[in-house]
Amino acid sequence: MSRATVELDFFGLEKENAARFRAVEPRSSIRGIQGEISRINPHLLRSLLAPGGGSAAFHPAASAGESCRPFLSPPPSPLPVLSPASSRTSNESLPGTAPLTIFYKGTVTVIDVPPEKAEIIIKFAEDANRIGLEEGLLEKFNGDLPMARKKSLQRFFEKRKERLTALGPYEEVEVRKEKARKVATMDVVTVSNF
Amino acid sequence: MEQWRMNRVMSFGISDVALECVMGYIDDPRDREAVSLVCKKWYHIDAISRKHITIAICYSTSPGRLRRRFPRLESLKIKGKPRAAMFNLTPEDWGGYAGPWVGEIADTFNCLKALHFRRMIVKDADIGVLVKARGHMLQALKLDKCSGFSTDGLLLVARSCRCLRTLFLEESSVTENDGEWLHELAVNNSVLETLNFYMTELRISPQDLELLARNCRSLISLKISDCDVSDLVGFFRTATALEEFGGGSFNDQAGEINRYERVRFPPRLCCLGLLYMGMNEMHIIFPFAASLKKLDLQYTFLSTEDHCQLIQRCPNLEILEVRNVIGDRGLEVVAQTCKKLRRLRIERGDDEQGLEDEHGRVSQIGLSTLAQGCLELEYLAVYVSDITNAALESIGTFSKNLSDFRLVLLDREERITELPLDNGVRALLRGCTKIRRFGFYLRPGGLSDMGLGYIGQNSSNIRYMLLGNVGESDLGLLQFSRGCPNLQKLELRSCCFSERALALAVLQLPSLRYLWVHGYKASPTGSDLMDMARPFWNIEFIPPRQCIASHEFEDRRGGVESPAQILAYYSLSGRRTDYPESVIPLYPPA
Repeated sequence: MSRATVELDFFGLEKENAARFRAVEPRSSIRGIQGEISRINPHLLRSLLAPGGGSAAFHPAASAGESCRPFLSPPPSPLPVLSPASSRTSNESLPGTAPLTIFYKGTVTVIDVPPEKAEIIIKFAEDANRIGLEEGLLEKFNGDLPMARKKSLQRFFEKRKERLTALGPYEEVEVRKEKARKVATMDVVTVSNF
Repeated sequence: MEQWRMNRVMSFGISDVALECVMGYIDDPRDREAVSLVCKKWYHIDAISRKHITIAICYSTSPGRLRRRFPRLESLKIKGKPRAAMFNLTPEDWGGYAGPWVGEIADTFNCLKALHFRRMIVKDADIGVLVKARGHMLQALKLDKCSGFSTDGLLLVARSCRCLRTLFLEESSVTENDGEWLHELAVNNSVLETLNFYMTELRISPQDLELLARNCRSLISLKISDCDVSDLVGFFRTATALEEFGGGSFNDQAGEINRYERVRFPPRLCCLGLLYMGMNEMHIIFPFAASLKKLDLQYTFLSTEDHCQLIQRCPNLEILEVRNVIGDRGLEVVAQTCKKLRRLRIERGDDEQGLEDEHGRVSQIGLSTLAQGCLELEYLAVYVSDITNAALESIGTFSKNLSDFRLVLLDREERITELPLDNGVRALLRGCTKIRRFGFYLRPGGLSDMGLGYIGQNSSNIRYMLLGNVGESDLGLLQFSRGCPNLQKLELRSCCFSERALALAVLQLPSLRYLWVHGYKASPTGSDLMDMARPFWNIEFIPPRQCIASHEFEDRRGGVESPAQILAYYSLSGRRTDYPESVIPLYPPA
């Protein structure tokens, strides 16, 4: 694939919402995109896309904001939106930019950003994620820390699960063993994403 | 003249040679410590005659110091990462590098025959240095829950260490390049007695195992990774001296009912642990179940009833390890049958519905029955789903030989029959006076401040404690820390104590040399922790972070936030020089 695509799954809802997933054609319409963006935390987006960020695709033009008001959901302040000047109907990105796909609460947004901007957005989202979670944990903290599992036993449970969910009784023994072995050597993060 | 008389008096008229002989019979490290404090002469003789040293945390001293203190060591055990690493709570790069130690061993420890690294990072290069210098005399090498090396390192060991009687790699993370190392071991060694690569992912060929059995006639213990038991028929036939076997696996294939019928275990086998064994294969153990002394069922697929069926055939069992699927019913069978039981571990089963037997819960009922039935119990570690004070009192009444007791109250049931456990734990500790290691992990409300005070008051012999979700406030911790006169190592998890209280407790506990805390009332700056700053006391802070594979939450993000950790320990070496980014040294300052 010649384009670099960065995916950011805020709440891991991709699995749950697979059925509801609306495949959005890249740049299907400015209106659609603006609608999606409007559902993202406006403060978050705005601070990221503030002038001086260097992206040719965005600028928080007041006039642009006004013209988009009909598409904004609850947030009171106008969102920075795609300026009409940068709207494109073709599927080509601006030079130096690549599509950034954001999955959020069952909706999908694709925006073209240069790599540095993408990094900033991702880092910001991760930080916001971590801080939010940290606060949550600190609050819970009077003895609400869940029990940790021993590594050896956890590996056993994963292997057991793998054996139980191995494909049908007609599958070759070797294939099944190989699958089990492959899973066993993958790190736990990837296994848990199955 | 005066001087000479003083010397004679100080040595009680015993010559140095005789003294050295006598000291050779004193093994207990605490006795040795006392001996070394008598006078300079005794210190010196202890130093040159000390055979074994265990370093509980590798950063408490340095290789050079060790060499200056005990130059003639024959056996060395060093531990690196905190115990929490076994639960994925410690950053992988926290530290515990074997390199500096291996360097010193290679240079100066000319008598070293046995080396044991536990939870440390050992590189192939380190193994290379070690075997080049000491390979010719190394008799025991244990890389226990270590990481950082590959099968290439093992190959070096196999080729150079022909005197090796013990090679122990249990639960280490080994990068696998090939299975050559086992072949080389089989070819080059004829004195191997113990080989253990249990709970590793190493793939080996059964033919190499058989070759090993043929060449090493003294092989008495083999614990391996995953390898179908039906492929081990040849090995079992050849390894006639084998007493302990662990690992192997069963792969239940439809239509192959007789796959395991050919398996005959060696005649002296008395310690066994088979992976993935299910109800259909269990019967292959029956012929010799009565001679079993040690049985590990933690990684089997047996139901509660299966456990009952099997254990009732094992009257000579001394060590039993199971998951809580054994249930109260299984414990009843244990209590009736296993009168010689000394060690029992009941691990936590899977939480997922449908994967564990619904009877697989251990409660106060099973515990009480067990205590009354198995009077020889010395070690009991158990995850319970329910508990009462009476059950703990029962243990206090009957389990007089208990030296290691750990109880964890699972968090799945909403209601526990009886909490708090203040009176029960007091009765237990008062009754079991030999307890030296104690674990008590509950839930909020499980133990009041008064109960925590009881623990402090009644733990005169306890050296190690793990406490979780205990107490209600800082007062409890402070009461606790007025007791525990011999507590050396303390692990606290998920408690409500403030940094100030923790610092104060540390300063009060007279024998404390190691503290680990995970989950406490952390302040933004951690400044109150500095209340415990003092000479030789290293304080490390591990900030909250993403930790992979923390499985409590069904994690969709690929990781879960782990709250801050504190690790503090006495050190003669000062500040570490190998801190990773994930660890912040608070004291001593740079």
